[in-house]
Amino acid sequence: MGQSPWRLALRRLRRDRVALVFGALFVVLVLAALAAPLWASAVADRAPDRTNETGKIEVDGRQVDVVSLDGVPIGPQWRGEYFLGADANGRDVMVRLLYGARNSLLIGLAAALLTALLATMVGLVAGYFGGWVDAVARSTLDVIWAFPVILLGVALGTALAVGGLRIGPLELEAGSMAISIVVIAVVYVPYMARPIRGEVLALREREFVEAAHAQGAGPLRTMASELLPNLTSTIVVFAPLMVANAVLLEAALSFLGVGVVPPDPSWGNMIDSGVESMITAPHLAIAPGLMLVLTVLALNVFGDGVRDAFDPRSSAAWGTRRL
Amino acid sequence: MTATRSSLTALALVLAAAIGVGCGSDSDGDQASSGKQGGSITIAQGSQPDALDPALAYTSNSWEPLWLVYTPPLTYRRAEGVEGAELIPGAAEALPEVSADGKTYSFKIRKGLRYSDGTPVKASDFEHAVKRVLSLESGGSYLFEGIDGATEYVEAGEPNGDIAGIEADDRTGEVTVRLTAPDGSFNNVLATTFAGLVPSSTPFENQTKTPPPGVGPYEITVSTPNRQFVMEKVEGFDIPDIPTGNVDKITTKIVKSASRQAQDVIDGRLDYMQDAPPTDLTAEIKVRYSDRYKEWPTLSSNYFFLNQSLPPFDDQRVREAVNVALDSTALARLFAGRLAPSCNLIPPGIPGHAELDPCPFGDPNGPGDLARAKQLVEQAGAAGEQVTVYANNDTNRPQIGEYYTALLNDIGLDAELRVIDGAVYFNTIGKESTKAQTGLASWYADFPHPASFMQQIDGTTIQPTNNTNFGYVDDPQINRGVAELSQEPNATAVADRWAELERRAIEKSYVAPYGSEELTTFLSERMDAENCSLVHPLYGNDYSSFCLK
Repeated sequence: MGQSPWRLALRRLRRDRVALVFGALFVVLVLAALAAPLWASAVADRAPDRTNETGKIEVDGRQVDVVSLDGVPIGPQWRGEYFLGADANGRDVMVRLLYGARNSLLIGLAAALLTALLATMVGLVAGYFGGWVDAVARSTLDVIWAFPVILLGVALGTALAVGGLRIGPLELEAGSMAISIVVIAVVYVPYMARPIRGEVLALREREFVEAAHAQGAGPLRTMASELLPNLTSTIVVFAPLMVANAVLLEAALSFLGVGVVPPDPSWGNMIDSGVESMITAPHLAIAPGLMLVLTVLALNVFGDGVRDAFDPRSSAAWGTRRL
Repeated sequence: MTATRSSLTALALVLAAAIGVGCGSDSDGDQASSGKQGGSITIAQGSQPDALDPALAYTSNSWEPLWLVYTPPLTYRRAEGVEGAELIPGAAEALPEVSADGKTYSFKIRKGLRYSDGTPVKASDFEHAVKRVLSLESGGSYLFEGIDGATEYVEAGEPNGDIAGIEADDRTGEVTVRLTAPDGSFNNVLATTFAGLVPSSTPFENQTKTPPPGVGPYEITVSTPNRQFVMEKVEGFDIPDIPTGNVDKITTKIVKSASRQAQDVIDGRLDYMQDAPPTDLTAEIKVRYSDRYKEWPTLSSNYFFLNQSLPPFDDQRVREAVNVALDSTALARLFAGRLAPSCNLIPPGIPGHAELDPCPFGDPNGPGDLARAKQLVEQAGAAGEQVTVYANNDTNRPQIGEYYTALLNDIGLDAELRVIDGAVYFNTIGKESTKAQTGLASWYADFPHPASFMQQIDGTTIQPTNNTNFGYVDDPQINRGVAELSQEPNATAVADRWAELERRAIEKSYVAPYGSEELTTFLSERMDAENCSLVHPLYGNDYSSFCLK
């Protein structure tokens, strides 16, 4: 008796050591982000937005300015307080890095989830109904697809940065993280909806769908109980890559000033404020940059492993478009 | 006219104390003519100027270049320190004759004057320039509202209508301006960029994309907003005491990053950066490039505006709390030491400046009193009230915004920061519909007169758009005081009364001042920094003085 595709995929994934190591790295990063309040209160004893421009700390038995009179912040101390040094406002970089991880990962995960939800709905409806419904959906996706991701993200982010978003009962305040989530989710919908639509087009011709129709199943039921379960593996394969892309886009938006609004930290806005101090305080940009690289690398390698596990023959078929 | 001169003499003494530090200027104040002629330079600004239209431009980003393109009837001597505050005739033949009652100003436009495109300058072009300022609701409108008929002109809403108080005779070039009340600073108003002459055919629209021709040593030949604009030397420009400029072409690029600007100046890809170099590079620049880097004090005041028309700053106790909590020494670090902490709104060097000692809310060189500030917020019942802090994204401004946001949270408010692009920042906070509660403001003297600062808290200057009274301060006593003292032809003679008025504003916590900023000049190696770098006390770096080695 054969094994279910899920069991087979899991078995293949377990054999992919590299993917598992990077998957574990991502878990560690998530745990570190979750532990941010613990580090802030028990180790550093500083809140992430606690400024301290005129403060002093003891270094080698003498009192040293956290931010010097000419504005240069203290570097890494390799101890609880100011482990990775301070920023221009005298805030603890390590604490902000961990809290930034929470924001960056939260936005990345939520945006990826929303992308998956929207893309699945669009792909299902377009593929199942075909005709003008498909034509409208496909054209809309093509229009979004036509814009470079960052350009579209920045344009939407800028447009919503001042007035927020109001669509019927949905109201998102300007400057809230929900704006970033929605923007990122929307710009990535075509990248997931198009393959899903293609798969639905193939699935709807299959016998089990015809059988469901013959038994009187309506469109909604057919989509929910016959097509959706067959799309799960596609969605699962896309998930880590979508999270990686969303985290990266969030960093880009925050770097450009239309993502997470300071003083709330995110890796993107930390890099932005640190990049002007690469000579005297390189830790300000390097630390969040490194976290970003590790996260995206972990998710990409793990995502590749998941993809290979589900369909080892078609690693090229899932190739993502250069963004 | 005589009164203006006596005022100027006294003013010179005041300015000397604050900005007359020399900065290496020639004693004759006419350095620009001595430099090598020709060549092209590329310079940078951190953000697009608010407008490249003399009627609308109102930031140092725009005034610095436009000063050389749109000469008003009067202008300032091209010199550093005290000499630079001297009014001289610009497009006018001579300084205006002022009637005995101080209400009528008469001057004559120079004969044979032409715009950069060759169009002859007419006396009526002055009225057109003023009409554009008023009808476009420019931030400088309030400066001209004292002209008889200006209010009626605005109310009529007809751009081509008439301003009764301005009479211009194109045949003789004579212009007569009648005011409703004497205005001791009106000669200075006639020297602002707003009064820069433009042809009467210039539309009543923002002309930033196609700047109109002007009268000046340079003309703007290319304007690509948010990327660059190009100024080229005007052949045949000839107004006495206004240098014709040394380099032929000045390309100004918009380069957001101060780091990149500084590195490009070091590497010779840029010849001058308008922003201060970032903290990161300042120490190195001071040591390695000291021959082409200098810091200079400004006639400026940096403060947080507190919108008293909106909660929670409609309560004096909350405004006091902000002043009590402010720690200028912390802010000085964010300025990399280029901030002279103060609780005055009128900066040193301007008549009426009297150092508030002690400051009503604590030593500006000491830490703030957070506990007392918190108590005041609680007493006002404002604890937990939501506040949006506005800041722009120019060098160090986001960090100042973050400091201020954290401070407001520390004293019990619920503050969040909103960072706006520098190119549209003042238009945004100056729009009534934005309902900006509080945020960063820095004010550089439009002219060396206390009115230039006190008008920022004068209720009569409030307007729906391009408002510069960001805190919507409308105190009848201050309004009356500004109106009354502005009539005095000699500001220095009533300096103590201006100081009294300022003290009231500070005690009422209408603003939260924290000091004056020093600006910088950093030039590339190929520039002749020793002989060709003039810093004007009002307009900053004079590009017409720049020359190559």
